[in-house]
Amino acid sequence: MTRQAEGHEPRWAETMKHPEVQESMTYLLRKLPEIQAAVESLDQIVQFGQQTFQDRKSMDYLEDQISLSSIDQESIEAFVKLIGKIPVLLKLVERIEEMATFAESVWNDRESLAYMSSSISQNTLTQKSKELWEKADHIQALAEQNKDEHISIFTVMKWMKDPSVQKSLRYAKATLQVMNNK
Amino acid sequence: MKSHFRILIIGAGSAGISVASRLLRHSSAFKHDIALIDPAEHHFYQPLWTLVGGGAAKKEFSKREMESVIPFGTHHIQQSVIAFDPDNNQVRTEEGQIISYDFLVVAPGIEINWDGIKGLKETLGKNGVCSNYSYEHVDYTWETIRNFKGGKAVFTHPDSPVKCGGAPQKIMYLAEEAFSLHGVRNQTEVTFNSANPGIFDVEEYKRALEGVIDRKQIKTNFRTNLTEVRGKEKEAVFENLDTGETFTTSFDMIHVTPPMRAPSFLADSSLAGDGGWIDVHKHTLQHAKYANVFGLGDASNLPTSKTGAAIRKQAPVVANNILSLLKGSPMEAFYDGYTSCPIVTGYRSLILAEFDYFKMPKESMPFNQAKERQSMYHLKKDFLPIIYWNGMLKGVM
Ligand SMILES: Cc1cc2nc3c(=O)[nH]c(=O)nc-3n(C[C@H](O)[C@H](O)[C@H](O)COP(=O)(O)OP(=O)(O)OC[C@H]3O[C@@H](n4cnc5c(N)ncnc54)[C@H](O)[C@@H]3O)c2cc1C
Repeated sequence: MTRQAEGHEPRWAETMKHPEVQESMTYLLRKLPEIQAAVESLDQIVQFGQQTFQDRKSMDYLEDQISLSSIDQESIEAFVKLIGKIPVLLKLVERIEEMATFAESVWNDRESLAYMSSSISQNTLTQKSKELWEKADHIQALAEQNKDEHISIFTVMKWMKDPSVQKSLRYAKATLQVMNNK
Repeated sequence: MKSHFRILIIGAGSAGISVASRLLRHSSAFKHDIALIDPAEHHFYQPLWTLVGGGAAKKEFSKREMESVIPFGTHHIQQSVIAFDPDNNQVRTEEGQIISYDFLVVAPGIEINWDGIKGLKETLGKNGVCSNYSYEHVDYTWETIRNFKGGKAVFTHPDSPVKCGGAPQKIMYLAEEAFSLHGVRNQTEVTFNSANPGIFDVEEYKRALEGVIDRKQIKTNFRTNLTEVRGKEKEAVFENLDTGETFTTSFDMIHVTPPMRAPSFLADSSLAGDGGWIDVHKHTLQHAKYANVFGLGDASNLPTSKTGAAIRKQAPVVANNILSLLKGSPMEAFYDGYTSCPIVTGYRSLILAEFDYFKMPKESMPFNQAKERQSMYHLKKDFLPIIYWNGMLKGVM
């Protein structure tokens, strides 16, 4: 025991006499079990962290994954921005989903496909046949007009130079070649 | 059999199926808790009937088995509703079944009143008397037009609301062109007798259609209503709606647009407002008195032209507002009266009329739609049926 201890009370004992300090101490004592539990779980988290950091394999794996992926500062910033845009994105995804549902439904709807194909063939057929009939009428009219015209060997040679006649002759030649090879 | 549903829909037509699909797409919680009541075995894409009558499409493409269009997860109760009891959240069917609901959607379409014109039922489908307004008779229209040898061809528009206000004149434009193609136009007088005061309600399209009428040399008699058809005598009786006078005219063919009205089981119920239509708020589509009842489509009192295109915009409003009420939030979906009528003016031309409650054009295309266009004709003929079966009825378009 020191001399101070003989003559005076220790300073901490004096401090303990203050009512506010006593109040805080009582509060702390009462809270001790909770504090202990909190410290324990904090301790567990720290331990988990320490173990993970010590576990080279896990760390290497994580590191590999991050380095192999394109996650960097920019990605993280983009991710935060993305979260802000989720309402707009949702609308877009909904539209895409609706379009996909529509496309899938058309694809599986044999009746609609039949309707579409009949429409297409009808359109092209009517258009083509109309054009053909118009041409045929025109040709007939011209032939009637030129009824008395004399056709000489020179007229025939002039025809041969016409690009459409040339093209037809090329087709005829190619057809003969193919047929000979068979 | 289940007799209570969270959502009960009356009528599995364009409107009923669209609403059911939209709700189911929104949440699988509705699966097996939505029912559609409809006695019909088939579902029809009626807009195609104009082209069928004009010989440009086969009627079989307008008809599908009802079961094939009922959305997965929905009950189909194949019965007719005959009475409503909105105070007890119940409806009664012809078979005597009582079905209760949390929310009711009323969409039984418009009723065609074939008896509204004396003699019509007896002669329809023969004697040159045709009508595009039933699947059964629509091909007789084309038979009549195809075999027409000249004379008087009469087309009518009744003194009642109709589905698709443009349809009575569309078939006339097709017939007129067919007569030209078949070489009988010169021997033919084409007349349009309409109960309306003019060719169309919306000024911009009216002007364009008056041009079509002039070009095609069609005679028009407005405020004129068909009251009787005498098939054997080939005579039709009309009344002048302003003077009350009647007159009789002969015809070689007549295309009749029959009068239409609200379905009687609805008109007789406490859900009906003026004219017998379901009385709903024009923007939210919620019933004026019963907060858990909604109405849309041809059976509603919405002051706009009754079309499938209008239903395309009404169905999401009904679905979203029901969802809001279920979540306890205020209803935010709003219908502006949008409707559309693709007016076929010939075999390769069409005016796509689109407008709202104010009869103001609300055009979807980046060009003047009051002009007759071939592209729009193909839109109607080739694409709209596919959009209907695979988009609108699936709740995605
Ligand atoms: C010739 C013609 C041309 C048209 N052209 C066009 C066009 O170009 N563009 C366009 O947008 N629209 C057009 N339409 C209009 C369009 O077809 C209708 O507006 C649309 O079908 C209305 O849909 P809805 O669901 O209200 O009624 P509907 O589709 O008629 O369906 C009503 C359903 O209710 C059922 N039902 C009736 N009574 C009962 C009951 N008591 N109990 C239970 N169920 C019942 C019926 O069986 C039916 O299935 C045209 C219509 C016709 C006839």
